[in-house]
Parts: sequence; structure tokens; C-alpha cells
Amino acid sequence: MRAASNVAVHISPRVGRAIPRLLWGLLPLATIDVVLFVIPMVFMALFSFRFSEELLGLVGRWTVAHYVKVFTSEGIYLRILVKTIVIAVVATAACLLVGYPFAYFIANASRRWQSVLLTLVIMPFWTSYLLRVYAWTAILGDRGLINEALRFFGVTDQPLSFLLFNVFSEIVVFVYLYIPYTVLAIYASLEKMDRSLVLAAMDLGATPVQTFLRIVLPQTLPGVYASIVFVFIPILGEYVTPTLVGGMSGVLITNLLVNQIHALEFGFGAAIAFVMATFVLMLLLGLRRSVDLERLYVA
Amino acid sequence: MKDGHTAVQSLAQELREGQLTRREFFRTCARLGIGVMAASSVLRTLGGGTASAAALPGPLNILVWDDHFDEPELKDFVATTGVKVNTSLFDENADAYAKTKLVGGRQIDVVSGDALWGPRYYQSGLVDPLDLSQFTSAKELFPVFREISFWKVGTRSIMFPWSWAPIIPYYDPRYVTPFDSYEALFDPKYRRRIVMEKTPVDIMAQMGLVSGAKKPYQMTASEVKAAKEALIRLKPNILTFVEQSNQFVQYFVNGSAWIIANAHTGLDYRVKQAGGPLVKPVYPKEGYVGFLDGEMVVKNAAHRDAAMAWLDHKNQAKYVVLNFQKQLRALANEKAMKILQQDPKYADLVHATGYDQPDVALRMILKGPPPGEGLKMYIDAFNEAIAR
Repeated sequence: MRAASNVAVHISPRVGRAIPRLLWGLLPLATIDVVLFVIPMVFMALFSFRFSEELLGLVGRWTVAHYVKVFTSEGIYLRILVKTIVIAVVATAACLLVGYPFAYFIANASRRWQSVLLTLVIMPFWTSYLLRVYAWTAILGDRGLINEALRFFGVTDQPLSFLLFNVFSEIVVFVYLYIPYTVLAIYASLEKMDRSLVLAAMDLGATPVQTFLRIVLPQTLPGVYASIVFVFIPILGEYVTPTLVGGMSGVLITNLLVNQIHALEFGFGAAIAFVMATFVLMLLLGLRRSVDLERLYVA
Repeated sequence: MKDGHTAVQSLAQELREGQLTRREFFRTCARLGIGVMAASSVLRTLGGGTASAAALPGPLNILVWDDHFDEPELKDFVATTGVKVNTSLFDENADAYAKTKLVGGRQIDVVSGDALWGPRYYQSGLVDPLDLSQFTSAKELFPVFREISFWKVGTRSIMFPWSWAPIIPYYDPRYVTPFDSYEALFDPKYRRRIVMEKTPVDIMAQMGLVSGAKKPYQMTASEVKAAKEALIRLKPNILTFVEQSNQFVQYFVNGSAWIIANAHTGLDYRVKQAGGPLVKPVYPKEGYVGFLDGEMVVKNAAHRDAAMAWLDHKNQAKYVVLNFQKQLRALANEKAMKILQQDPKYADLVHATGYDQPDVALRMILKGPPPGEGLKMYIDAFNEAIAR
């Protein structure tokens, strides 16, 4: 403590004047953070603990009934939440499995080809998200591209109905939608990687697999973690994809939440959202323990 | 009418000289029985023939279903009154009700609603009943729609009636044996072949009919439980829920649906127009729900005059005819029906959709909000069924 006091005493007047200026500089950012993030979250938290006869009324009594309902209600909300997490994990893993080699390929291509390939990766963003999801019904449907091709080549005489309106089609569309984030995050890590280490490992007799596992992968882990954050978390909150291609078996937690909001059950809806948010927060804290967040965000 | 015209000219003169506000002008016109659009029109002429001279305060903010308006009447309205119309769409009555309750007349001037949702809006103090006699286009309505008892508040009506239709199953006879009961929907041979519109409350009401509920929009807890069990039983046969009923056509056309369980009448013609099979309607012996909808003017609407003018404008027969030709379901405007009956292309359709039998509209089990905690109970049951 004494040392700390001494440090405080020895702050130069110039630094002392700089601190208020720094705080003023942070004000716009802090304002945006408070207005767009903190205040809405506080209101949501209040709603989730309030029972009111009035629509969106905060005058009422305190209750934990909404949370009790999330964890009871025949277990449906917990079960669907777990299902949502499992589907998000599978889709994120699939994005990594497909996206990593592709990012590696781009990073090792010539500069000219890198520009072309990166443009192709971001090209889907030029069209509407809704259209991109909807297009898959034309690809996977009974009269879709795949079924028509299979029939044309005589592989099947009946359409393969399992291609659409189930968990399979949901995951396929998730992978399609989110793979650009995976590729871009891992590509950024690969670009920053010290390639002389790869050459050194090869010179010292490491096999390609050993080189990848011991040199490349550890250096690109921040990119992998970043892609998990950018892919896994948004999938947890997906509504449009399960609605359009998920069918009856692809119902996710947000579908149930939206139904509650339509029934004007804002308190219960907020409680479901907070349970999800708590899970995401725990995930981020877990990631923070396993990787330096600063490196992750830089990636 | 000549006297009315003279009166409105005199009133318009007072308006120009600042002795009357626009609101007073329209109110006085209304008291004299002069339609809002007629008043706007005269006002425009007197103002020098430009739309801006007669411009009502705007913009007009309407929260509506997408089949309640079309581009032609929007364009004409802007040209006639100078008022820009901001349209917001919704799918569920509860959604529109919540939005109206949250922002009221400050942000919404006109809102669409289904039959028994009207009284709920009125009881919550969200809308002002309308004196239909002050609308020129209301004279074109079937008399039965001017006197709907559950919309009546004294001599006024909560809604300006627009359209109606039974919600019934349709099937593709190439794959489905003709049926007359909801029970057929549960046949395992229709696994993943049924498509429904995602309207949780109405689906629960429909399942209530299946499980024997007498009043499907006022089910007791045990009836809701039975309806939930019916939905769970039906679930393996449901391919998907669609967000909007206009998506049904493609499912019949591309052959992925054999049965649409909750479509409004006219789907057979829309499917045929799109090159699909000749699908058949079913009027189940257990009964069927139906919608009868319209527009309401929100209480303390910021642009009330424009709202009144809009209702008078959009409900004119010439626009209703266009709407029928596009949507192929019955409407409340009798004059439009008579015009359509003269057209060989649409005469049969008028009958097939029930447009010429307006009394049927009031014999249906009409959509409405379940009372008290009912809405919550219905949605909980729906969620429990689809998440199982």
C-alpha cells in the first residue's frame, strides 16, 4: 500500500493533466456502451424478475417465477436449450473443419489469388441474409437442385425428403452462413504467423503433420477462438434459419422465445434470454481462461 | 349531393380564410354526411388543383397485414391527398396489439385486426370507434358488415370491415383420399406431408376442434391440454410451419405438401394459377375457424384526418376488385363483388370463395384472443407440443 501511495505521489503534473483528458476521450465510447448495452440489459433483467398485469409494466411484484418456469415446464425449455447448444457446437466444428483448410489455402496462395479468394468468401454478404437462407429450400427441396440432379442421373426415382426441414438442413445452412467468419478469422491468424518457424521445423525433420500440430495450429489458435466466438454465439440466437429450413425437428430456443413474446410474455421471454446470456458469458469466461483475450480480439 | 357540395365549398372557403382548422373542416363534413375523400377532393380543387394545396397532416402510419393494401391505392392516395403512407407489417394479432399498446397514436394511426380482437383493442382504450356513415365507401359494404354486433359501440363500429374467409384444410387428390374430418390429418401415410401457417393460437383452436372443444378460443385448462395432445399426435405429419399463408402455393406446386391444414379459401385457385395441381378444400364436420378482419383508427392518432381519408380511399370498390383478383378471398365490399360477378373470369371465383354469401362470415368460429390468462396457456401448450 505504501508503495502504491508513493507511486501516486510521484505522478508528474503532465500525466495528472492527461488522465481527465483520457477519461473525456472515453466518454463517447462509454455512452454508447451504456445506452446500447447496459440500459437494455438492465431493463431486460428487471422484466425477467417482475410480474405485472400491465404489458411491459415495471410496476408489479418481484418474482422468480419466470426462471422457475424456464427450468420446469416439462423440461422443454432446458431440453431445447441443450439441443440448441449441441447444434451450435456441431455447426461451429463443421465450420472449423471446412474453413481452416480453406483459410490455409488462401494464406498460401499468391497475393493476386488471395484477393480473388477473399472476395469470393465475402461475396455472400452482398446479398440479403434472408435470401441466402431461402435459396437453400430451392437447393435441398423435393424439386430442388440436388433431388433433380439425382433423378436426372437415375440415382433415385423418388426425392430424398431428408435433405430439407430437419436438423441436417439446419446445420448445412448454418455452415454456409457462418463459414466466412471462420475463414476470415483464421486467415488473419495465418497471415500473422511467423513462417520461418515452419521452415525451421521442416529443416529439422518434422513431418507435415507434426509441423501443423506443433507450429501452425498453436500460432493460429487465437483465430480459432475468434471464429468460435463469431460463429457459436450468433447460432445460439438464430431464428430465421430454423424457421425456414428447420422444420418440426429443428425448433431452437429462439423459436420458443419468440412465441412467448408474441403472447406478450415479455418477462418469461427475458428470463429465457438471460439464461442464454448467462451461458454465453460463462463460455466467454472459459475462453478467457484458456486464451489471452487481447490476442483473440487482435486476431 | 349538390347541397352537400355547396356546403363543403363554403367550409373550404372558411378553411382557406383561417376561420376553420383542417380537423374542424373534416369533422363538419362528417357531420353533414360528406365522405372524407369527397371532402378532400373538393378541398383540393378549391385549393388550386394541386395535391399539396389540400395536403392533410401526415405522414400516415399504418400497421397492417400485407394483403390489406396494394400499390395502386397507395399511389393514388398520395396523389390525391399529398399524404405519404408509412406501412409496417405484422403477422400475429397479439404482436400488433402489443405494438399499439406500447406506442399508441403517436406512432400508429391505423391498425388491422381480426374479429374479436377489435373489442379487446376497444376495451383496452386503444382505438376509437368509427361512424361508418361518414365514409362514402362504407355505403358499398354488404349491410351485414355494417351491423356486426361485436364491433358495435352505440351506433359506431370498432372496425371498418375488410375481408373474411374460413380457415380450412386443402389436399392434393393425387395423393390424399377425400376426407371430411380433421382425424384424416393424423393418418401415418401423410408423414411429413402437411404444411401449416404458424399461428399458434389459431392452431391450438383448430386442435381444440379436433379434441372436441365447444369454444376453441375459450378453452379450459383441460381442453387446452387435450388440444396439445392432438398437436403432439399431429407433429410427425407436419413438414414445416410457414410464416405467411402466401407461401402455401409453392408447397403444393413443388409437390412437397399433400395437405395444407389451415389455409383460407381461394387457395385452390391460387395454386392452379401458379401451375400447380387442382387441390380440393375440406369443410371438416367438427367445424372450422375463420377470420373476419378490418382496420381500426388508433385512439389519439397523430394523423387522424389522414387515417379517416385513407380508410375511405382504400375501401372503394375499384381497389377492392383489384385486391380480390390478387388474393382470391371474400371481402366486405358488395359493390366490388357485383363488378366481379360481371367479369366471366371471376364470376365463378366469387361464388367459390363465398364472396356472394356474406352471412357465412358470421356463422364461422371467429378468431379472437383467448380471455384472461388464456393466451399464455395456449402459447405454453403450443411450445410444449412443438418442442417435445
